[in-house]
Amino acid sequence: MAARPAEIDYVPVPLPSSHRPQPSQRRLRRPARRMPTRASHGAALSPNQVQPLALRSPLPAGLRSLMMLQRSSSVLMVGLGVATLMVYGGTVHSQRAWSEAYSKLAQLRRNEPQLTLANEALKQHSADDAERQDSGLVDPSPSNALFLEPAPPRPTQPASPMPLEPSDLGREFPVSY
Amino acid sequence: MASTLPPSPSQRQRPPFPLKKSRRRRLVLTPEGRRQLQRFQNLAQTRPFRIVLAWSVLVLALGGLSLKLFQLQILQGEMLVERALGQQTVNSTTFVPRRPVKTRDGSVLAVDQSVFTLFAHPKYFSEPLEQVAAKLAAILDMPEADLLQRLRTQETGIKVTDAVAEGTARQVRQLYIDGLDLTPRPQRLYPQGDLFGAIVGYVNDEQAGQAGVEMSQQEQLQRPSLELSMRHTGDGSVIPTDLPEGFLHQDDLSLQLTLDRRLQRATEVALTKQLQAWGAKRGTAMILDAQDGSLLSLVVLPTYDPNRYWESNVELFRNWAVTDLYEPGSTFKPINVAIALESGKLKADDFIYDEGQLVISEHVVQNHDFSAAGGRGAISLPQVLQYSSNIGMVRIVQKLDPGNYHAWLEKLGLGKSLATDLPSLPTSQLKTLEEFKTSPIEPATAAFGQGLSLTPLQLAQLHGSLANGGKLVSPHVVDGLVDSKGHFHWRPELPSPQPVFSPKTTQAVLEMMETVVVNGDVSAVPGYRIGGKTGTAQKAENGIYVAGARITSFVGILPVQNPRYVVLAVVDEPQGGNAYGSTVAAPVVKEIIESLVSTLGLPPTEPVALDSQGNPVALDRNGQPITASADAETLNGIWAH
Repeated sequence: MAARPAEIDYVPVPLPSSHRPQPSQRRLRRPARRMPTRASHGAALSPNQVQPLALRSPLPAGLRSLMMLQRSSSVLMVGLGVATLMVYGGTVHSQRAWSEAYSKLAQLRRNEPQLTLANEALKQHSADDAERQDSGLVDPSPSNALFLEPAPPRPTQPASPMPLEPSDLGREFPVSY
Repeated sequence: MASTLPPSPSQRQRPPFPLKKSRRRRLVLTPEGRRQLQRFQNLAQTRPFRIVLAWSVLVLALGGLSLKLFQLQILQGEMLVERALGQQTVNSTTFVPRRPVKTRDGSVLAVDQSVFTLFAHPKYFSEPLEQVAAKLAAILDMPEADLLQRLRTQETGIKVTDAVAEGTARQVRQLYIDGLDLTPRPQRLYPQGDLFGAIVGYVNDEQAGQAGVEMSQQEQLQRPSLELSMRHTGDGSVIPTDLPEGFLHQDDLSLQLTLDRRLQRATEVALTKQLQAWGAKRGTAMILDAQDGSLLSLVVLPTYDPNRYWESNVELFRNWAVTDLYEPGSTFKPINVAIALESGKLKADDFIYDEGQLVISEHVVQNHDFSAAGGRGAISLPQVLQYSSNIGMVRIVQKLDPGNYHAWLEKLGLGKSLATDLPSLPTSQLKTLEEFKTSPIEPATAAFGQGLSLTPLQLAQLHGSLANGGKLVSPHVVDGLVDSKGHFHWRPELPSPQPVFSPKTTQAVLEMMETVVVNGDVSAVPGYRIGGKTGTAQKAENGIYVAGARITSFVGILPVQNPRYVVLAVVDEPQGGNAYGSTVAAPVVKEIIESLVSTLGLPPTEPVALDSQGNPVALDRNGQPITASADAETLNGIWAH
């Protein structure tokens, strides 16, 4: 790995104190100095040859694994947070729906006897009406009852075939009435 | 993508600012660059103050938060949970209504409704007292000045009113005034009013039955109530966690009675008519199905409306057909005949000598019509019943020896109380065996139904044994607990029918009773074979018979060829010289039987042509209605009238 050139991001080089960057140019800071073309080792460098510099040693495995851990735990955290919110929302919603259904049930249970009482009151009312003299109704008694003996069960007969109608023969000739 | 700087400065391009992350440039530094970087790093290292400051502030904040978290969750956790539970939890017995009571044909006799009790706590009122009083008075329909005065008496806990209906409660709640408290409580209502009052009874404020079926079936009517602790949120809705099992479930069972509303109504109408016509003190009438002992109707007059039970005399809460003893008189005679026939000492076609008057142990015993008819001489058993001859009965009972007769009476249940499911049963009275053996007047008076006392219901049971072929059934009004689909979940345990007579004996007695109806034309319904017996007894008080106070009764059993129903009517103290069982009680039974056969659709034995008044259109030369199977000889020469 030592043979590979180190990869670094662009590193802003601090400007000399004489040159203060304008606010509009703060982002457009240019390097104040030209990059030297000579290698620090003293060897003569051609312009095309630049020795890569390892500014940062490769990260130790521990640190890298920690970073991986941090990234993965962040992802996990976000996922768990979303899941928690969903579960919380579901809980609140289901509890509210249950409460509504329960209060509806309680209301129905309170309404049921009122319906029964109204029904019975109607029955009483119509019974009282019927018993009035001028209602035209009489109490049932044997003198206005008919007793019929049921006829003995008759054997079923097969259905007789219907006679052919003229229309069954097809409309070959007109039917005159 | 990497790119290197161009070699010559003039050709160096400006790196694009700001650097896009997607196109990261990789730069390599020359040693000069490295020196600069080193300087920067040194700078950062030598003056870390601001960074450290920022860092420490954040870390302190985080530490403080975790400390507080530790304190709340771990140190104070339990206490806070307790406090929250204390605020949320409401210990309540939920409103569990009592089971409804219904008749066999589905009419509701008793049902629970929730009404609210309104409590006011003026300490918490969010509006001034006068305003609250004005609003409440408008909704509750109470005088405002009254209400205002009551609200001024206390700071908390004023019971404003007791019976606030659903709709009114909703209006009160929608006022949204703090300090008003509506607690639900059950209220029992009886839609049928006084028609079933004596049977159903009523409940008190604690929902405990005080009379009738409400009292005797208290266990079956009361639903098991749950002591609940529920947690409520701030707006009063229930938190549905940790609820006990069975919290939502409420069974739909109702108590079904054997009574039929139409028959009960018809019975009441018939009995009321005669009570009013004869100015009687009280009366009772009942229809017993002798096959299983279920009562199809049981009317007791006068009665009360259980919706307003507090307005009635306490004596009315007793169902006197079940709780009061009386001496049956002549209606007991068929039972004695059955005893004599069953014991073998008498045959159905025997003749009895009726002197009309006897002296037994210095007591004069005579027929009720002795002064008019005198002694009748030798009469058949049916005639004994037709003339209701006391001497005839004494002669019949004298064929049994007193010990045997007493044992028979005890076997029939006299001297014990009846097994039934209505409350407050007395013990029927019978003289002791010693008295029966030593003093011959005792079995003699028992022969014609005086000297022993029983309840009207027990008399119906004894006649039921004649009707169902000789078994003593237990008269009851409760069918069982039924769900909304008609399945029985519980039935009462009744004692099994106990055979006392043989079917031959009972059929013989029934046919004798039929002659009473036919020859005496009491309670005759054309087309139906009915057996009956009248009864007129003197009432006794403290062992002395009261002159002029009678208790009249009539019992009818139909149909004789296939007996099933016993109809009994008892009228207490009818006024008037002509007040006998045949004139007072028999018309009640006739009307009840007419309604019974029409309502239940009992076919007649022989169809008879009737006119609109219920009288037969034609009679044959014996005075009997022409039936459908009349032969040519009977029809010959008969003119319709």
